[in-house]
Amino acid sequence: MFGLSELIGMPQDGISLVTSKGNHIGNTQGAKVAAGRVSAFRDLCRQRINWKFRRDSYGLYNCAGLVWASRRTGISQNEEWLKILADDGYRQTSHPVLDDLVLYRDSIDRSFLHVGRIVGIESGVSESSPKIPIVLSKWGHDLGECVHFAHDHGIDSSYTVTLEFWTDRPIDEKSNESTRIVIR
Amino acid sequence: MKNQMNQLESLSDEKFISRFDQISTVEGIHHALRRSIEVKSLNSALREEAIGDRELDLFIRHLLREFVPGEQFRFQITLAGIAVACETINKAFARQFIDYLAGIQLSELSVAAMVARYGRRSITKTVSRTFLCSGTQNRFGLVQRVTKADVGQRSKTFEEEFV
Repeated sequence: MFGLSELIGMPQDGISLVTSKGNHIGNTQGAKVAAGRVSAFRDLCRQRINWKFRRDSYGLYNCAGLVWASRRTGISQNEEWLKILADDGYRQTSHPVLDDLVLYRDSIDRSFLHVGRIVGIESGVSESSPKIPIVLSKWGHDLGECVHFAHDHGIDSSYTVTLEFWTDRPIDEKSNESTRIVIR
Repeated sequence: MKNQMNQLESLSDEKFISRFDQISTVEGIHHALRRSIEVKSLNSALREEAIGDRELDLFIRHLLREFVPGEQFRFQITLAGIAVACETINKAFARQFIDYLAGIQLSELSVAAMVARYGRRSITKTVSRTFLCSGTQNRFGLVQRVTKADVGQRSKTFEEEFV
């Protein structure tokens, strides 16, 4: 029934990946992307004029795999994200600096949706305007990478998205604490 | 019949699938699927038996014609959406579909399989829920335990999540 059990394909596999405390991180390497996904992502980048294209659609890893596994695999479960954040000493901050993370959460059920690394902080229009974080991220399981403003995320409008900034810097570090960040 | 098939076909529509393009977590996809009008509509059709095992079987076999070994299956969100719609359906074929999909260990279908596994885990794990009942002068809490044995009868809680 359904024909699902008759399929022959590539065995689903992950790699050895652990947190700094030695706990295993569940992960899955994706198959190569389907035909058409490369042009789909290029089209998306063209539509979103502020996105700077970095890499074509790729299936091996997802956004969390880019950030926490050096683009080697996909990390797709909330419990694994939480494990990494806890074991690797991340904390939320309202004053992100370069190389901190932005996590996108569903405002309704609080599940994580996306993560990216802050690669720049752009000045606002005036001296007193809030600074704007610039993020490098990889979209979904089968799209590509681009650099974008943190709030310019492209997640479908059917989601209500909350942005959270996380850092692994020790709590007593005060660098750039005065930086005000805009979150839309 | 045409209308019923449309409820399945709406899940394979490119616009529907692309709504989940940017999401990287199983939970994020599952919760959004469960909230979507398309999945709710399919759930109703399955519950009212407007769509049965034969229609579902035909539709899925039709989708699988586009399965290419070594490539991510382009209708993974469609399969995941069907699995989510089946979660509260008390029919053997609905359970069977979730089990088949959840049991798949293929890289091409890893996202759909993970969503099905997550959905199955949410149903079958023992959960405690507190219902606050009103209508009397006193509000009181009632803890209901839902176990695997209860799933056949489907708890009211899970049914309500689709309404």
